[in-house]
Amino acid sequence: MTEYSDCTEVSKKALEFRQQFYQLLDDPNKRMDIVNLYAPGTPLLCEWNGHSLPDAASITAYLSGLPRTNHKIDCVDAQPLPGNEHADSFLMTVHGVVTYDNEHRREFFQRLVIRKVDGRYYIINDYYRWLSEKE
Amino acid sequence: MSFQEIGVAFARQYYEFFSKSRDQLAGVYRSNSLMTWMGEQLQGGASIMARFANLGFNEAIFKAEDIDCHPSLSNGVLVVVNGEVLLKDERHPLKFNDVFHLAQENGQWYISNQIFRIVGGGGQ
Repeated sequence: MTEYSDCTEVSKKALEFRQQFYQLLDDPNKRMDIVNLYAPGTPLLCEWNGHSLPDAASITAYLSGLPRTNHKIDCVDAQPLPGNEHADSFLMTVHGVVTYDNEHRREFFQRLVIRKVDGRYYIINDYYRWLSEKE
Repeated sequence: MSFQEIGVAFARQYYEFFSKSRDQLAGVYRSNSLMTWMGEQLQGGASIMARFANLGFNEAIFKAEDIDCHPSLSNGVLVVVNGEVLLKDERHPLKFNDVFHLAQENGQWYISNQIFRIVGGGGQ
């Protein structure tokens, strides 16, 4: 049974992770560091707007071609996954608006599965997609 | 069945029930199920069903437009649904995002985690 403290801890970890993730993604000089947030040596399931990105090399290639981004987050939700111990595995969703090259705005939705491996939190499943276009 | 078939079939059936006989959704939740309903945290099938009995609407038609599935590492299925819900007497549908983590218990699929959000629509 999931304890209340797990939910509290998950909320904390999710907000920390969200801060870290989009900070790296939106910083042109640090964007490639985001690859370090994906679990090494684990089967990776990453899908961004229909593009399947099964490993670090694919993520790097995809991000290289992505215009500069600025993510404005509306809401973050997170829950501990079954079998978790002390919030070491959680499901997280993010909704907001992304701006490309200070011009094009798109509503986006992202779902992440985060797991603690060797004391560090990593993404093991990632799904990112556009919803609507913003004027 | 592949994880895709499981996820799609489950989601389609879920919204069918949500639209027509909401009380029957009790069967897909367990005592350990977690639901975040528009930011509100609920734990356990009983709490979730009690919440569904107190929604601000009685009649709604849910239409899943996109259903995307991934296998989860714990042999479950991760489902993301993007769709619309039309409330009775409303002209414009609302847009929603729903995420399920499906797990198995005694060979039966159930929802262990669900995160639901209205993300727009309503004529805006």
